[in-house]
Amino acid sequence: MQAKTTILNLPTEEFVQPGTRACTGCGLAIAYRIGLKALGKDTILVVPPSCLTVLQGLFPVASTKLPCLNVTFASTAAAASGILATLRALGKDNVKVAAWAGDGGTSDIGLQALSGAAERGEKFIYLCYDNEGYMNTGVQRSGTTPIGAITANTPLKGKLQNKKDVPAIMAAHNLSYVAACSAAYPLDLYDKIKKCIDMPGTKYFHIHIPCPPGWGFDPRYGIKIGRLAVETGYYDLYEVVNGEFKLTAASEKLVEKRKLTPVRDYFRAQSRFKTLTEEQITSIQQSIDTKWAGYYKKDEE
Amino acid sequence: MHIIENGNVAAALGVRLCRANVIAAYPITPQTPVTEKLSEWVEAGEMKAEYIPVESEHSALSVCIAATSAGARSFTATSSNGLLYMHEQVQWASGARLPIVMCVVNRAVGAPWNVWNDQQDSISQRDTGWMQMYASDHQQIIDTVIKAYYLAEKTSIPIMVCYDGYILSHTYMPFEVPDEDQVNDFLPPFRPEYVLDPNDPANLNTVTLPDVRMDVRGELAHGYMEIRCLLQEDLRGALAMAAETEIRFADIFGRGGDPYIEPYLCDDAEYVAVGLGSVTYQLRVAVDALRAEGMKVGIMGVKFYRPFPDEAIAKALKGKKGVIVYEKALSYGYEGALTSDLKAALYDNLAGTGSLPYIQNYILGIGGRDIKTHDLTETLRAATKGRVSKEPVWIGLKL
Amino acid sequence: MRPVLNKNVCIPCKRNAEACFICWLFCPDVVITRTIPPTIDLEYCKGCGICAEECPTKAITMVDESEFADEKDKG
Repeated sequence: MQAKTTILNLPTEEFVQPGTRACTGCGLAIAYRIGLKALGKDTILVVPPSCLTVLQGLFPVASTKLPCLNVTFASTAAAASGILATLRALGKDNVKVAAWAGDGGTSDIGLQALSGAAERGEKFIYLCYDNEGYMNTGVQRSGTTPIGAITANTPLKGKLQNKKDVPAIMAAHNLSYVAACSAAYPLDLYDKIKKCIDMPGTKYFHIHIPCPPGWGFDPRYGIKIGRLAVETGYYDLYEVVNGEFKLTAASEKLVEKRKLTPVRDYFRAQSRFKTLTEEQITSIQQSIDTKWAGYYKKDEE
Repeated sequence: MHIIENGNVAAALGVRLCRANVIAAYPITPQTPVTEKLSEWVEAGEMKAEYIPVESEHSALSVCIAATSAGARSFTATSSNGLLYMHEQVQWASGARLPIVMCVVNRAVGAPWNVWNDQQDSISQRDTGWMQMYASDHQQIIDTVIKAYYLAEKTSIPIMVCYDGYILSHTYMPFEVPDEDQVNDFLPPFRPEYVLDPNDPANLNTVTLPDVRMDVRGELAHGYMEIRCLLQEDLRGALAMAAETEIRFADIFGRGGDPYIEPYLCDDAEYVAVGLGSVTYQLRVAVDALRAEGMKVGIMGVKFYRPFPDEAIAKALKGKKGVIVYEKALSYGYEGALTSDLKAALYDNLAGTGSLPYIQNYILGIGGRDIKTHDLTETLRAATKGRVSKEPVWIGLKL
Repeated sequence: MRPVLNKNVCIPCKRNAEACFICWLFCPDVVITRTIPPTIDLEYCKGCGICAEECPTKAITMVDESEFADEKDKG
């Protein structure tokens, strides 16, 4: 069992330079920065249209220090497959491929290519950064937007459908490694990347990303909101290693604590949930409680 | 080596000889056998390549785009709706200046469904910045694939090698398969200018703005408009490189001719039939019949469609009385795309010289509608009397 | 808003040893150095306030830019 990385032994080399075009307090900027530390220098990145495309800068300047291929929206995982094929053909064994795509680019338009690549066992890390909407284009709803969230195209009633569970979809591909992470827990993200990097086939990461303009909160509270999502048991940190599910980090601790913060606190901290009714919140709280009752039971076994 | 095989195998042999090392494959009739053949050779260890059976055509070209960006010589093939599905990536590949070679086995597009031959698929991609070369028989298929890799890598522009579905893809003909050594002589290893490499990181295809911007050294870099203009300039410049390629090919393989057109009895012809692909060979029977009657008719097959060799074509058609264009596609809402291009070329190069022929556009073979020699002969005959109609005339229609 | 560090309250400063560095960890813009004391590059700082919010001893406070109006323009 590898030791957990701490702030003090986290590598200091940076792979992103200051002056990105990310919004003030962008959660992705944190996850990306720490994630690249885990991936390291011998990595080729694939990035579809998304907040990250813009974060990296405008031609001819880029803030990322690693080689990066910008690709079309639907093709992220296929592009990763193409790079991998070339690396094999040219015998470059030490170079890894990491794709960073948004939730829209993953759960909606990118799902086909991702599923295909996973089924073929393409050996790369796919990191979906989930800010729960098409934020780059002005906060439109995506498959992973949670129920009740006000977005630019669910402006009055909020999204009517539930959040698409993409990690579960990817776990159904029998992958060696699937992880649910959060920008608020960057060391957990770092350790998980380090853990799975040499595992066979496609490794899928789903990273919860607090987004100040998209979710409606003061940028300084980004990490707090990300933590609340986990502490309310609403968003869980876990990994699925060769099919075996395990809660990690703060979520794992919650099983011991047996006490979840009321999910109302999480919703009331963001203006996007302002139309959520008390009934809806109660219902969501019940789902969370049921889910966690299951975790507690499993823990007792 | 002389063999008898079908057109799809001819294409696959070309790809194998060129040592493509990343192949993306997705099935669609009638190109599927191309990549099936390649998979056979790869699995048997006869061809050293990575073979990626993707989950869609969009992904097939995505794999090629990424693979070539990382330094591989990549290949894929498609037809019809498959080509349409990857249209976004077709535009991307040329904009990204990637020397991908893709075989388009010409097939009608939906809706409604039709698996048989016409050229609407490749014609619909005319304006994307890819080069387009059309083969009229199996020898041309294998030769064009080999020429295409050389030309694409010299110019950093992707090329579609087009040939008629079923009529060429599934029929058998004798043709010469070049030696590996000859191909290695002709086609040097791929040396890309920009490549994804952790030792020399670059961020490829980032976001541009309307105007030019400074790079980190304080120098003005090209803006989007400059990048696109260079694609256009390099495409026009590729006409000269295509001629060089033809000469180089002839030197090494002993086969060659005009890089842009394939004339048949054109020199003294007063009326010239024009087409893309195998229809130009079918027209020979009609031309021979009319010549036997004493009519001065000929054929100009267009081998190189994009970039459009307007000067060469205008030169070949100068002074002719009539040009009769047989097309298996059209720009809906107006007329055949080749017809329009011809009119533009002739106007640009011959207006005011008093030697502008009239142009008659025939549409035929749509959705694989049988092209009867009798129809070719009679429609050609009719068009020698003058223009039949301003609107395109559809041959073999049963309205 | 710009972050202002109070070295008297900052843990690594007080201990004069490697410690904490939570501000360095969470800065989205890589503008805080992992040094004693941590420094903040105001040229690239966007003023998000995450460092101030996450600092366990509240050593960083976000101060309105108008308070520094008399400073020479950093351009």
